[in-house]
Amino acid sequence: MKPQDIAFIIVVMVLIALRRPNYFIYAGLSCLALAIPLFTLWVFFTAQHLVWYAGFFFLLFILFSLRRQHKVQ
Amino acid sequence: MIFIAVLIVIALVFSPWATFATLSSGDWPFLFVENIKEFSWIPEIRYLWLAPYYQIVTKIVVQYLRVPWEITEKLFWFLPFVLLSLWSSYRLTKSALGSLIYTTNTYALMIVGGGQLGVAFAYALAPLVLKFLMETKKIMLTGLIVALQVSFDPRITALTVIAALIYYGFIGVTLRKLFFVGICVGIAGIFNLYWIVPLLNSHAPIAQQLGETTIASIKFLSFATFEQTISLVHPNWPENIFGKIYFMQPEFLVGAILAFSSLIFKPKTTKVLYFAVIALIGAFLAKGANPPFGEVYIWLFTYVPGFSLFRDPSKFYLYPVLAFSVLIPFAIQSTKKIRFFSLLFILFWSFTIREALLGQLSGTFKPTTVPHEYVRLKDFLVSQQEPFQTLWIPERQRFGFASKLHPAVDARLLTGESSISGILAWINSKDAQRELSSRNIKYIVVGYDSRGELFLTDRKYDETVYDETLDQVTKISWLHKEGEFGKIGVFEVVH
Repeated sequence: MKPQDIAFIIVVMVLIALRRPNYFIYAGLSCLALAIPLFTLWVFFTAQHLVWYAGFFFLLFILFSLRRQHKVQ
Repeated sequence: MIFIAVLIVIALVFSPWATFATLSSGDWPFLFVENIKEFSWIPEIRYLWLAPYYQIVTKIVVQYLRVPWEITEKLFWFLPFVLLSLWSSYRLTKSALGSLIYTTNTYALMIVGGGQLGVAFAYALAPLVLKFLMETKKIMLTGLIVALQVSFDPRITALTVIAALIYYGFIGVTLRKLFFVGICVGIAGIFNLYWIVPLLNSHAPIAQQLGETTIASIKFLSFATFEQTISLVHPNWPENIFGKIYFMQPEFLVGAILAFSSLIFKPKTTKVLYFAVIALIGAFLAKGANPPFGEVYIWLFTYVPGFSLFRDPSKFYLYPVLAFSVLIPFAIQSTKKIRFFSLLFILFWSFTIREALLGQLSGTFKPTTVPHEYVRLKDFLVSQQEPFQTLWIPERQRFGFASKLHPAVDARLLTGESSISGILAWINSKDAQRELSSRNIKYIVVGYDSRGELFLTDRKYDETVYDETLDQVTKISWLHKEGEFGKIGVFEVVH
């Protein structure tokens, strides 16, 4: 496991604890935005992983949103 | 204003098709009238689901109405693709930007550039089919549209129907909805019996291909990476050379940021969540066996019946394309300066597909005229009434004539050799002459590679490979050089 992955897991756990789904989108969008300069600088490993993390953040947001919608219904 | 800007971009992208030259390239063939005259009135299994449109429409238009193939291909394939894609995506997205994204993204351009017009038509119909399936009204009309899409590519239909089923999962599955889909698929099945029944009863190439698909081939065909699929950039963009994968072009990630930023804006409707899910599912599956969790695709391929239809994972690009066509316009329309951001987006989009706007795409975007020596060769072969075959080294060139009376044999297939040097070694062997005679091969042809597809070094056309091949074939004592066909080497086998 690389340091990036450890940082990602910590961020995910913090965001889950905060229970604010919108934070997942901000985290995902930030990951994508950060990946752009890294790809440009050919820092492929970290850039690639950031995009994976972004996908995971968006997935978590959707799952939280759906759970909330389900509860409201 | 936005509508006009979108139309200008679309006109510029597809302007190379406004020509009388043929667009034959990649999978898109060139047909001589003599070929079209051989088409049957009954759908032939070799053309699978495309038979009625490809075979019968072409026969009527080219053979009977005497419209040249170069015009027919544009009137009945390329132009309708653009119009259908624009209209169909507009019906789903209700946005000119949505139509722009759907019609000019790198995946769509690589499909049409590679000449996969059947897939392209099914792709163009997908938003319309999805919209009708989501609405669950007008059952007959929906069934007919689904049938039409199946007749262009059933794999794309399968993806569209699955996308609709996922939508039902979001809004609540009911028996009525499932019944609706079932009836539509049933109607599509009835209208497509012309290829389903013969396919089940024959050993058509596609059935063999599916049987031969292995996990190794899935891994080989998984060209795209997750960062490419989620940002809607085709791995072969822009050169479209099979297997040549490019580094990630990071500007495309801005598109993904725009699309997923739609989740921030309110109201977060079920549709927005649904399309975000579709984008993630599609991006995850379109990368095939590549990480992260590439094992999932292999597991699906191994255990899910019918998943072998998707040995080329890039078909799943359909999902992120559909999703981005809805999500990006939604995000822009949620801002206060819609017009400003729309124009800014069109500029950004034009930058990402700049190769298309600057006319730098290959394939069908590089029209060509049929070399006159190929027309002469066709006339030469047609003038001979006795049956025989021609052997093409290394393969039949796309303008090389072949008919039922004079079939063309690819040297690669006959010899089992993949390299040109291997083919030449086989032809120089002592049994070659006897083997060719026994197969009634009268001519060996070294094609003039006008499209740069046959004589390659590192995937690029190499004139020296062609020269050496021609030189070596010329030296074979039992071959007699025939006539004058310019750069095509035609050699009669002396029996």
